[in-house]
Amino acid sequence: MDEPFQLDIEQISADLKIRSDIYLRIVKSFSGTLKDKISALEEALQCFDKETMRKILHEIKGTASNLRLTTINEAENLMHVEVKGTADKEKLKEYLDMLKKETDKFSQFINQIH
Amino acid sequence: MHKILVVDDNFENRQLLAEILREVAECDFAASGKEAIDAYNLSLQRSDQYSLILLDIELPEINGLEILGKIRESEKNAGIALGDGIPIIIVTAYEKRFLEAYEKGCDDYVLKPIDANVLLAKLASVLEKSDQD
Repeated sequence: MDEPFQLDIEQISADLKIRSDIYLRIVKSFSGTLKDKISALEEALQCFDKETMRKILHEIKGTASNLRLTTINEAENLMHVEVKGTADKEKLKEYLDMLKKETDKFSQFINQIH
Repeated sequence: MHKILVVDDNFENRQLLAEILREVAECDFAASGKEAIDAYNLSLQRSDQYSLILLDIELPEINGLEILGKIRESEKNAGIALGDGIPIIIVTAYEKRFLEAYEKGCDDYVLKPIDANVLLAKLASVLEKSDQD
């Protein structure tokens, strides 16, 4: 997951049968809401609120997978599996850091697009 | 043009679904179970009722399966036979849950991540069957 963020906007929007400018508008919107969800995840992890973490991760999963944001989806999935499983707090912190890192790369990518 | 109620608590998912359906349907939106039931009940009083509901399962307040159950129950109480009510397609990330949805009376299901071809094909099939009934 150390590679720069990549997104084949033309191919994905063609697969989804929508215009690429509309796909990009939706992706930009998700980029904004994802930051809020990461903050909410951090709060939930501090309280070790597993149900809230599970709900937030489920929301991220649904949209990231629909929009074919593979690296976000992969990073979310690691934390999601841990929340539903043994839910080791240190592991969850590690996975949340990975998700934040991927989210930052995603945000930088989106901000570079005009 | 068909009119569809898209029920999903996520703004981006609602927008994406509406765009995929743009050529075949005009969409209304509900972001929670309560909004969905209110929108459905209001539509019954209008001449342009919904042709179909696209229903996410994991929703705040009332989940999609409960909404499905409530709608089928109200149809039953109104004398509408199972299969003759409003077509409902369930949207879920969990493949296991569609069995429960079928038991509650859904017409079909689509899995997340959404495949536009699958969604459009299932929508056309369910609407065609509904038009024939």
